[in-house]
Amino acid sequence: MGKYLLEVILLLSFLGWTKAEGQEVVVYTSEDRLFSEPVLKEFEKRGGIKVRAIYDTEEAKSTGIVNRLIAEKDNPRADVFWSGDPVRPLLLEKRGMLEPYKSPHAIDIPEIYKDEGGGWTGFSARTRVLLYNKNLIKEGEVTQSIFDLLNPRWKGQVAMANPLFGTTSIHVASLFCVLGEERAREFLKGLKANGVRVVSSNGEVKRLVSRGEAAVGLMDTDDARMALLEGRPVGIVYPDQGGIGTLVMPNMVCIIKGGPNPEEARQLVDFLLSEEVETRLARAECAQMPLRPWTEVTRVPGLDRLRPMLVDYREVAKKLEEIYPYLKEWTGF
Amino acid sequence: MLWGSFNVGGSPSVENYRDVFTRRNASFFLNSLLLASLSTLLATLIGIFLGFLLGKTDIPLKWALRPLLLLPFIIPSYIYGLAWANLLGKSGFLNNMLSNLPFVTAEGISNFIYSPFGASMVLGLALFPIVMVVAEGSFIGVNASLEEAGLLFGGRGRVMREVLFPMALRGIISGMVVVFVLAFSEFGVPFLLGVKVFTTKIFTEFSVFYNEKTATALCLPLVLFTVLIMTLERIFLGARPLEGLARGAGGRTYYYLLGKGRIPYTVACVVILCLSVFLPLVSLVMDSWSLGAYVRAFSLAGTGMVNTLVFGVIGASLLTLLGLILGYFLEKYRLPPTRELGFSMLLLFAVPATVIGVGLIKLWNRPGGLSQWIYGTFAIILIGYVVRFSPLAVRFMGDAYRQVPRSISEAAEVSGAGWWRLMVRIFLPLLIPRVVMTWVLSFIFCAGELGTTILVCPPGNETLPITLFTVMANSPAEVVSATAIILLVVVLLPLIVLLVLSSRVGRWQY
Amino acid sequence: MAVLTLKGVSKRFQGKLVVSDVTFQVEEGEVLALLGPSGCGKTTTLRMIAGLETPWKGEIWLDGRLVSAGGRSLIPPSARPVGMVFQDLALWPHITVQGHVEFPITKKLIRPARRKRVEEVLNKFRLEGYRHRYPHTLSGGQQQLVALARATASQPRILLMDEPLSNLDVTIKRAMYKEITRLHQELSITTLYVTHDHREAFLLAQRVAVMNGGKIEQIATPEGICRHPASEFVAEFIGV
Repeated sequence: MGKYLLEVILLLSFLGWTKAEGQEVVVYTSEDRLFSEPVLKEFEKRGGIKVRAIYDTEEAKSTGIVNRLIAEKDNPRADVFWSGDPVRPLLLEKRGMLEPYKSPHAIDIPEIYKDEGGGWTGFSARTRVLLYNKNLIKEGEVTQSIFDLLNPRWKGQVAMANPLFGTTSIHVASLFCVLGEERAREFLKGLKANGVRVVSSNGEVKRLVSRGEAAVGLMDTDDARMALLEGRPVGIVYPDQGGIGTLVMPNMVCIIKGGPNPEEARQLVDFLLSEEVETRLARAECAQMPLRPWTEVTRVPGLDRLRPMLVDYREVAKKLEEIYPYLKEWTGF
Repeated sequence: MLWGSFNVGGSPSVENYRDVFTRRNASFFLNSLLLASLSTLLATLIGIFLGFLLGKTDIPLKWALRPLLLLPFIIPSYIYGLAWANLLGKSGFLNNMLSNLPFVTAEGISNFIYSPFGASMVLGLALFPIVMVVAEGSFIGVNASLEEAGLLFGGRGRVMREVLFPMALRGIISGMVVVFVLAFSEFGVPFLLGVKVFTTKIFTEFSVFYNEKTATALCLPLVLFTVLIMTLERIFLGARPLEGLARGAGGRTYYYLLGKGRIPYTVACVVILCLSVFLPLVSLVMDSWSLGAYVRAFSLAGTGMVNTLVFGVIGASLLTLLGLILGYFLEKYRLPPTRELGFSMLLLFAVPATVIGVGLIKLWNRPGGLSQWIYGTFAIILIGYVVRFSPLAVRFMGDAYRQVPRSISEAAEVSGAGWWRLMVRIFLPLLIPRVVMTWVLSFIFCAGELGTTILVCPPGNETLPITLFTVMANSPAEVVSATAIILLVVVLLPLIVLLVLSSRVGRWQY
Repeated sequence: MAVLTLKGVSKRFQGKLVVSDVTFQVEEGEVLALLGPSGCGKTTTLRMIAGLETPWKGEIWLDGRLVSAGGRSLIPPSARPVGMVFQDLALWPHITVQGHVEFPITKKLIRPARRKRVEEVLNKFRLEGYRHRYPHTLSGGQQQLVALARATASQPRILLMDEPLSNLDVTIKRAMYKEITRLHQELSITTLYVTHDHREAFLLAQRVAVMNGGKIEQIATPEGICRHPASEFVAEFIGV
């Protein structure tokens, strides 16, 4: 054995025993890597704390990370969960996995985006939007409300992601909160009657609308922005500005209870909640909307100029669980 | 241990299973069955055809065809599906071409690709390389003198029908079963194309309800069915003759010279190559092609490239070694305990990657000591590879041992060889072609593994498939394509080196 | 002293008794032929002696050591002092003639002794000119010699031959009879020779054991068997 000792040690170090080196923080994020990675790199550069991140995949949108967090519950490996949507942290909250922390940097973030107990805090938001293909829909005809999607004029030409997954599920649950059970069901029924195409992800919706395989689709601001940046013949509508408003979905950050680096976790959360990060994310390609109303934005309308759908995220999360059986029925799963 | 990871992942109770066998689940199951059967059929037809051309004829450009035809299998299936959706969707380039034909509408083609039939086509095209590789190996393994004996009585067609194919059947069926199980447990393609199958159902349980117990319980039908298929195969093959060892009895393989047929057959190969490789690749790249995209993709890929190579190579070598050792014991002793082991390993093969990932976390993510160390490092990724793909490696190597006449190894035993010398001096050199094949397939599997790796990968480290799929969300299409192409090149490079090397050293050809 | 002793050896395959209570001895320097129709259990008996099969009952003694007993194999084939020539010869396709001769003595002799021994064996079987050839490039008779050379290279206490000549044509067979007889005279190696051809048995062996249905019907010299066949079966089988 003795003569192999050196090799064994080399192998071990090669396999990446990184534990011994300095400060680090482990973050799992379901925010798109394209946008979250530069922010984390910046934090690394700034504070000298090494960030070890796991990003989520498009294919298994937000499920890999949350499944992993839940599976690791008894021996947490993550310090921080940066969620791209406002509902998944509540799943962890329900399982008692969050460590409350009220960041001093969050003081100027509006109360509706924060947990009063400090379990989770929102920042930079996306909203739901309609993306339409300019070759298929003329300027005057553009749908201004999601209820226009029920119009027989768009029969078979509307696309949306599977309402069991991702932000679409949150959107639908919010509709149930705002419209009430009955009207929301009617809306979904109407969509189905109008031949809505249910596809795997928002990215798929974007792809279909960009390529003219669907005329109009529901998605998030960042997907829509990317279609514009790719130079597709598309336009964005913030729906229902004269009615129920559009759903605002902030990012959320929370600290995992029992994580290995609690001190560094707090530093990272402070950084993420700073005005600077909101500005950065607003200027990035995804053009996220700062929650601080005074932050200047150029690429998208500021939140102060939009009519948001008035929802309580905890209620949305609860509603989502209630309506899953119905949604399962609706999608045929 | 392998078995344990599955058990720990599940530890399901009776209630979870009660809901498994419902009518709706039955329709998912039938869809899965349809998808798996059709794709296996397609993969088998193409695979046998190409395997025959590569292994038994003098078709030109073999050295190029061999690695290129592996490409559909190397492209991650989700990306491959995306490429086909691009091609055949309403505004797709191929759709536009085809819909000019009579009786074909753009709508019809688009509906086709988003149906179980379209998904079967995509999967069949993605998986035929497995049958091709295995069939080629089996064809080469048929002793030339047997075919020559047949030629005295009948034409080449009859010899192929009555001698060559029956002799190679064992290997071909083995490949077919692997394709079937892979298609049966495939998630990406049906999910993308909106085909409701059992795996997407399991995924829903996991991602929507975070209900690992129900999800694991849902794996039961998959697993049971896989067991059924494998049992049928065993029974069926048990009565089949073994292939002779070509190199043993004369070192020769009979070649069917194509003569004038060279041109049409080469054209057929090129057509398949275009359909299965170039068209999808072109559609990936067509969107845009810029240097900037590659620069960006490279900076993203960074350590992922090295990791994929290093861990793919280690993983494939581990798997091949495991296949060599376990395959030996499985075939040599066929005792109840080893048979059980072989069986329980086959079960793992049918279990979706996410379930295995969660199982591994539960098993290895414990405070302190060795398990802590393993879970925090790349070792856990290797374990994931081994757990997921060892059934495959053991199966391929086990089959290979059967090709070696028993007396060959007995002669060594009587001549004083212990287990080690038997392996190194007798089996290894004789099985080199099969070892190379197993290594190649294992490498492709490992290098492309996503579902389990994403769940257990140590934070801050990653392999290329993870890079690709995390980048996919919202990155410009060109960067995604560029990353996909980098992945292809990284996987293909060692294979080309190996295949070129093996055609130089004639004996190594699989 | 007997080199090989079998005491009440039986073997079952899937509940069927294929070798039943076989008892015999092979003396030092003797050639014993195990004669019988195919399926009579003679090959199975040979394989049990080599350790390739485990007896169900009975004892096998080799060179004064108990090698199989009580339904267990006590010593693995690799450690038994036997050499074996297989029916299909079982030459290794990837190993040269010289390699075949070297293989059994690699572990037993140090290098200079090994080289000497290899030369000796190649010499004895007149294979020097073929030392770098692979088996499939050799003629049937030469392959036979290679198999013999491999089986005797380590100077085993007993040579087991399993119908080694059954696939050869008459001319080569005759030459091989001569060769085996010559070798036996030169080396005086104890041999157990399995065959279904009574002429071959009578020609090569000093004693012949006739087997039928897993049992030994008679053991005697060729002369004794011809003159006094012990049973109707024996008489019929040898054609008197």
